[in-house]
Amino acid sequence: MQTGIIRLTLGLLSLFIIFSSGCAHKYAVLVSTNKVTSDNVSYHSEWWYDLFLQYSMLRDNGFKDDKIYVLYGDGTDFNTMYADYNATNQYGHSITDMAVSKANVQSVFNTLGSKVKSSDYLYVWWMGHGGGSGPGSCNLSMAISNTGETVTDTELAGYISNVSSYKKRTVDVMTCHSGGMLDNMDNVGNKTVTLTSSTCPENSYSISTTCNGRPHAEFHYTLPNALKEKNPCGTAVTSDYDGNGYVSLSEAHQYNSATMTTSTPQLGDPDSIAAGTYIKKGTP
Amino acid sequence: MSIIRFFINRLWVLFFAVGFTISSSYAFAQPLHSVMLSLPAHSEEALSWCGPATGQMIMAGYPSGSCSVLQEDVWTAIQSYKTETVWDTDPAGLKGALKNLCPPTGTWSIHPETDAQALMYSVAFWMTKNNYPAAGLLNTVSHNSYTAHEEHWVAIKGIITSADPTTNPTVNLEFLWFNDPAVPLGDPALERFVTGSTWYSEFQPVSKAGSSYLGKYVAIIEPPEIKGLAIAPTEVLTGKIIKPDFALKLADRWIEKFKLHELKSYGILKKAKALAPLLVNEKHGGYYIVPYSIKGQLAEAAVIVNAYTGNFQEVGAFKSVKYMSRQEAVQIATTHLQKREISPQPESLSDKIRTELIYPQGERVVSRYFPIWKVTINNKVIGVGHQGKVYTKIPSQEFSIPLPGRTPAGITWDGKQLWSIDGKTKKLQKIDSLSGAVTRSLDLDLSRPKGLAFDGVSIWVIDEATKKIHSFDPENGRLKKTIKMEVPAEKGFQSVEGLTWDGKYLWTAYFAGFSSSLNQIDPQNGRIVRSIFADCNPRGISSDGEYLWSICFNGKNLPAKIDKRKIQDNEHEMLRSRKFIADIEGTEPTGLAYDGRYLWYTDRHLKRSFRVFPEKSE
Repeated sequence: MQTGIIRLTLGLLSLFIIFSSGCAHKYAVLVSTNKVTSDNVSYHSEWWYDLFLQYSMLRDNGFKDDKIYVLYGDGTDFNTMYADYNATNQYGHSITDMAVSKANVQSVFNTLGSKVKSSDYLYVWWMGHGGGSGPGSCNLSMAISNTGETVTDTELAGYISNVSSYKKRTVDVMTCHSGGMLDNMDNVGNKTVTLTSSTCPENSYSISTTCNGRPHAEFHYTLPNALKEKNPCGTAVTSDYDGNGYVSLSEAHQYNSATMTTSTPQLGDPDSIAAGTYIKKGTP
Repeated sequence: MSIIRFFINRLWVLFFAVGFTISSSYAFAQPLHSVMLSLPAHSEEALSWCGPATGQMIMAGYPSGSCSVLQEDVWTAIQSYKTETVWDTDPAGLKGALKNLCPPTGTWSIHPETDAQALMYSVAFWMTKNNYPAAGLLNTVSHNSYTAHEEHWVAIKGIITSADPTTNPTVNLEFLWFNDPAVPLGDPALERFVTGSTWYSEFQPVSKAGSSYLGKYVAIIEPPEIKGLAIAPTEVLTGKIIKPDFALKLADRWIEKFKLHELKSYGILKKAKALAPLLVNEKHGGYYIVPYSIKGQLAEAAVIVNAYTGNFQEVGAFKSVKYMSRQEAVQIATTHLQKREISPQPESLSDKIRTELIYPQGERVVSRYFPIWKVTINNKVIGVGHQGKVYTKIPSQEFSIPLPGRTPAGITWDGKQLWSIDGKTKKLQKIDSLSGAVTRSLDLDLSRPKGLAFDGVSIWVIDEATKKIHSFDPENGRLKKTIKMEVPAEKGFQSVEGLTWDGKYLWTAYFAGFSSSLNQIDPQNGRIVRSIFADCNPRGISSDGEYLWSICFNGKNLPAKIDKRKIQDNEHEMLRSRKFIADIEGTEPTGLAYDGRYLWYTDRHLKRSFRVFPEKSE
């Protein structure tokens, strides 16, 4: 009897501790720097198709809509002809929160700075044009094509760092020369995994064949497929290499490296946390 | 017999001289001159037999007396006199059949002319002088379901000019009356009465590669040869569409003004009532078909008016037919898709269905009077012919010409004609844009030519292998200037995909994945003045100085598209002005040129250049 009371007390105490400190949340910022005006155009329609695929992957992995901040085009979803890439059709609401601009990118990270707690996970996704300059073409300059602005790798790292409190974070960049982002994020102790579509001198490309025939950037087709363990047509892909039921960021990178043919995906992991980061988990 | 026929013919002359004296929108200031002959209407008995059918009709209309021959015998005779194997019926074969099959013969001559107006003058002159009908080669565009058959012969039985061509060296070609045997197999021949403008809008020179008639308009006339012109105003091909009710009123008006119902073939127009007009080819070259019926919804004739001006284009009579409604076409297309288990997705059908009537310009597989319903259901396109035939591949809507050489690698417009560069033969060739006939050929000493531009004086060509841009004198191929092709370091380079001239600068298109770029180049030194992202996989660019067009290639399974941007100082403003204006045919587009009205693109695989109306308005 006494033992039972003790156990109950300890259980209630544990629950109190958990709830008083708050649940861990998963936040995401998705930035697509252009605006689509036509379906089925390579190197154009991807700005929406990839964004939607990424959002869909995050939702499947337990991210809540109010924790996913989407910056795209002029601030409204692309009205695609494809029902399965139409957010209103799939989720009952649009997903774009604001227009993409340099000010809005800064603003969203400022906002998250006061929201994201030390137990939370932050996922940043960037899709756009990039130019490489300087030694090894590693100074990355990213275009916000919709406004004519540019954001340098240093600037983006600065914006992201406005979210100073987090447990782990992941930065995913698909631009030409995106390898230039690695040196800006690869600081030991930052608890950051950086995934990029290419090395510093490389361009990035669309994938020639997709399951549904729609154009996608190669990197932004293989990565969500790996993290979702299926392609947009619902066919399973094998990315859980150790078979533990979760796909780590290391496994996602392994899948990208094995699958991609047009550029060389990069992984930055100075704290060696990628192998133990599973975005599907409540606390990645 | 022959005397009777002669008087019948002359009676038609008298009738039209009186009938067309009345004023009309064509503002005839004086009595028109006409020759109207009596020919039976024979349709082709096989899909490649428009030549034999034409010969059969002409022989039945000899002024010396009708001669009745079997179409099969005409076909056999044509094959025995044929000199060019690339034809089913070549001019020599048809001439031989006319000359030998049915005595008493005329002398019959082939008239090949580079000028359509000169040829039609000869037709008018000799039809007036001798009262023989003439065989006209309307064009060499596929015109029925057997698309390998191209030449389209018609029997010209009437011609109306502003003055007597035998005494005037220049006349206006007002109307032409002819029997067209090449309607859908099984239907009677179509008797078409068309304006000179409509005739010239369809009349095209030979575009058969390998033929000695390439680039020439052809008719077989009894006998040769006279100099003169039969001119006609150009058809209006774009503008604001008039309303259907107005088109109907105008059709009624043309019937009365031109007394069309007095012609025996169109006698039903006297009692018939107009049905709802049908708008065809709305975006370009549009026209209304106004069907006429004395049996409810069954039409037996139709008047065609220009969809923008309302001007009369032609009248035709045919066997009773019910024009297919939009709803019927959609039903047939839907049923077809469902049979193929392509379920319309995702919402209700009505949200995703688009329909339009089209008369394909590239492959004239149907008559102008019986266009095809193009039904788009959730991005699936199905064509439905008026007899219910389903086209899973819509016939080519774009006019095209063959290109010489093996690997077209660029195209440009010099203000009058097209130029093409071939990647394999390294030949720079000037091409007649109506037929594809090569009118000049220059050998260039280049390794891998790609892209072509004309700056008003010189032709510029990129050599991809050496990354240099050369300018040549188009008169003799002499090298005039060479500049280095600069590549923007931050954007990379994989291949060059286009060259154009904007009036001051050259533009190059480079493929480099997401860094593919369009680059404004100083023609003096090759330096890049500005570089913008292409935001597509470019396969050809063109400019008129105000706009920049590019072909966006989307792989083999999605149609390539042409986009248009207004040239502006800021890249993002250019990008925001961008519109996708056309999906294009072909699987390997390469090279784009603007001729002031149309865009032309080449297809490496098909070895043809296609013409696209760019819808230039904002």
